[in-house]
Amino acid sequence: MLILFAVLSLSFDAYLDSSLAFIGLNKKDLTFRNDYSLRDPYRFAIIDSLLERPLGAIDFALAMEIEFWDDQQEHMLGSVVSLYGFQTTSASREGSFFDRLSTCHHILSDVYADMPAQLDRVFEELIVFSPEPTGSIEEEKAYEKRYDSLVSCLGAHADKIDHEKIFNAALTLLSAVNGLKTDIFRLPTVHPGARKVCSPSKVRGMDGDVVYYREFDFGRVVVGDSGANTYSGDFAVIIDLGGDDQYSCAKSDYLQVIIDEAGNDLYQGEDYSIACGDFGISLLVDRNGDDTYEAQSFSLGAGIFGVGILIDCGGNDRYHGDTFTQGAGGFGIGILVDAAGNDTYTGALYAQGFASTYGIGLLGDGQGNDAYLIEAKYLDEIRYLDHYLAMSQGFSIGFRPDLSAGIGMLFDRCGNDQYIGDIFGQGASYWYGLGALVDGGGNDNYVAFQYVQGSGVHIAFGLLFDRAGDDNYVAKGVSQGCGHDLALGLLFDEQGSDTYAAFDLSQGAGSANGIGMLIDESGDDAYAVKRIHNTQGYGDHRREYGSVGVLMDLTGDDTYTSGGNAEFWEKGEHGIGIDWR
Amino acid sequence: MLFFFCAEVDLEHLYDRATTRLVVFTSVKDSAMQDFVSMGKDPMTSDATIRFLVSKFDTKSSVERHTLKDILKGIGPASIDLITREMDWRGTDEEARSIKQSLWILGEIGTARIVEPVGRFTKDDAWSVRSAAFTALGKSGSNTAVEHVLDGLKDTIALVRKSAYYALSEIATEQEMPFLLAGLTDPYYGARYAALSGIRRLKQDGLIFFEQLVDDETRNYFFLAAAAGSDIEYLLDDHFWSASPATRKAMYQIMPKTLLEDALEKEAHPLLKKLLEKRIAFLQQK
Repeated sequence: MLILFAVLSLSFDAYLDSSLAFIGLNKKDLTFRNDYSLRDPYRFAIIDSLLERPLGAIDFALAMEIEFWDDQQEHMLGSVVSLYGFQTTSASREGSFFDRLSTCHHILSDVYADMPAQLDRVFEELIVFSPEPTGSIEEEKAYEKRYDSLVSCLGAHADKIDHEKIFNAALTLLSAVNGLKTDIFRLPTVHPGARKVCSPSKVRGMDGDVVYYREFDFGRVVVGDSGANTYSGDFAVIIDLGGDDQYSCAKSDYLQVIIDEAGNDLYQGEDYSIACGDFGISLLVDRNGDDTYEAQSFSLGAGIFGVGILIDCGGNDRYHGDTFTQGAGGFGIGILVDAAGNDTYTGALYAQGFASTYGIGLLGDGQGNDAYLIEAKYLDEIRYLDHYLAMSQGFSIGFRPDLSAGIGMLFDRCGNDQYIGDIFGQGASYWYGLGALVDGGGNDNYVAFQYVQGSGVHIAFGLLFDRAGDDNYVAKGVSQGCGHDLALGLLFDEQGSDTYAAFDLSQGAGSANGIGMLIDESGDDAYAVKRIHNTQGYGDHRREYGSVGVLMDLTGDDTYTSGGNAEFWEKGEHGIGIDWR
Repeated sequence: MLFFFCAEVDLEHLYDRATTRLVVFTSVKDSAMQDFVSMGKDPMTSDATIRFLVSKFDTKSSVERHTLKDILKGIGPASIDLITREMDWRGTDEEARSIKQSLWILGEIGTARIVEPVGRFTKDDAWSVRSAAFTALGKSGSNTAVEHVLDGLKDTIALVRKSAYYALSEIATEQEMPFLLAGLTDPYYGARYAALSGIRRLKQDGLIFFEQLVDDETRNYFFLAAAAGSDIEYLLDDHFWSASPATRKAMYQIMPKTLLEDALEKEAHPLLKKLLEKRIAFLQQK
């Protein structure tokens, strides 16, 4: 069970109380309901709970970050699974590595044998279908009909899959993988007589020196030596002891495990590849080296009715994918962990800590100066002729109004990082979900356009939390702590001298009965906006009552478009900007 | 009649154009919406047009809901009878979208004619229907809705109370002032602000608000805000200086300039000192 810590300082609480009192509010007023619309069965209980106490989302996101960096990765995965309300069976360390794989394979075979045929590729079609450009109104309406039909199909059949068993199998597998290193050396005794040194020609789909090969009930297992090896077959398990290797593996049935001990490796794949748990479980652990991961959609730590986990323990790495990639989950769990190194992540849509319905998608990066880039590929034709959907970098979206969103998070522990996006992302969410970006230290650069940087949209939670460093935030609107339509959007920066630039409806803006907050605890900061009337502590009036917007700077010598040091100002019905010292 | 009209104008086709979400077709959308409004106002086509639009009330699409509201608001009171006639149908599921859409649009159209058909939904089992009904009654602008509205002030759901207080704020007379005063202490800010808005509209003598001040800064905020513009005497006594910064801030926003100047000499709170300086400068310019 996830333990929620009260992480925030008391001073923030006290300052917030005082700020709210200046506009006739108290924290009890900051609440939403969880029954604005019919509840679908895929909504996370934590979302229901947070709607009643929205500011609890801060503690939740920070507690999740702590859990994410737990030394025991099984504990991290256990915390994630607990958000579904499932019992996690303590991951068994008994039995050999292969015994445990065999057990998991049996479980998964049973689970997926009962899978409703209607679910085949429905979710994926929805994901890749939704941003396709339409040239006419007729096409748009045909798309809407197809969309409704796909969403309806998902809603009707997705709960027939036994997610609890899948996730517990993933826990068992992860535990087995993390305990494996010594097992490798014990292989001859664990499986007497099984150790064989084969010539490369004898193992289909592998070029290089083989130290172990065997066919199990769950699939083929190969262990490559420390030279440069190439893997292209449908192996269930690949263990490579070192060297600069190349992987372009085919999918195996239900489960796949790749462990690479060292070397600068190249992983290549198309759609549904490289740690993609697509109706199955796929784990990839790369323990060392400067690696390149090149894939298309549904890849690099992606879970669709399954679990995909990619763990890279060190080195300067490059990750490239398209859609639903780099820690993405929909009706499943997708996790990408990169512990160290200066890394570059590029994607196009639904990437880098993304979650759809009943999904949890997490991207965590430990040390290093990293770049998170979203390409301008999928036009946001509903809103713009010249801006592109990103929906990434700690983002979650549901299928409104039928299916709730999930929980998408990006955690970067330290380093001077670049976050580049466009529409939706960098701690944002849409429709009964939560998206968060938590950055530890370093001087970071956040650039995006709309619905970004702590932006909750339509009954959701969007949080951007930056712990330290002199940071730069640039966006156009509905950003930098903006809650739109019964949603919470929050940008919280603890330390450093920061620059915030926006055009409108940003920097502590509440819209359509939302709550928007920009909190900066320390440093000499600059806040610039174009439209003064609806920014920097602003709440508009909708549905015959007001939205709440708070811009609060606790200390430092600061500059604002709206005011100055040791001043406060009010905008809209319940909007306040306040520089306390 | 409907047959011949529909044969001439493909309403579904027109509706598709009016409800497009694509920014590139904005002008097509605007034109289609205007066509609907024109047909809804034309006695020859009004009946069939409005019936068609009402048949779409159960839609799940928020874009369609907003479009329908805008079109029917454009058509105006001519739609009321046809909308109210269909209000026994709640919609295809528990969401009761059709009823909520009807209530929303009736409120947007307004007039006293909607009070009776809308009033029967103020006791609905669904809180969102009750809330929509109270809002519509407020928008009717008719004091005949007061009896319905008073029932909602004690609702257990905060958003329903908010809507009821909003309605009261729009239609209350001096007689209902005690209810509005009670609203200033509602636990939900939406209700408090709605009550405040009603009191301001009725321009109540400020003295009664001063009698309500207690050691509760949220409550004081609203009673002081309600007193703004009243001709009352203020005292900068020990009682005043022991009040919380938030209460003093609320006082400064309604005090006359001479007292603000006195307060500036003693006020130690840096934010409130700046507020005083700004207020004094503002009142001087005035």
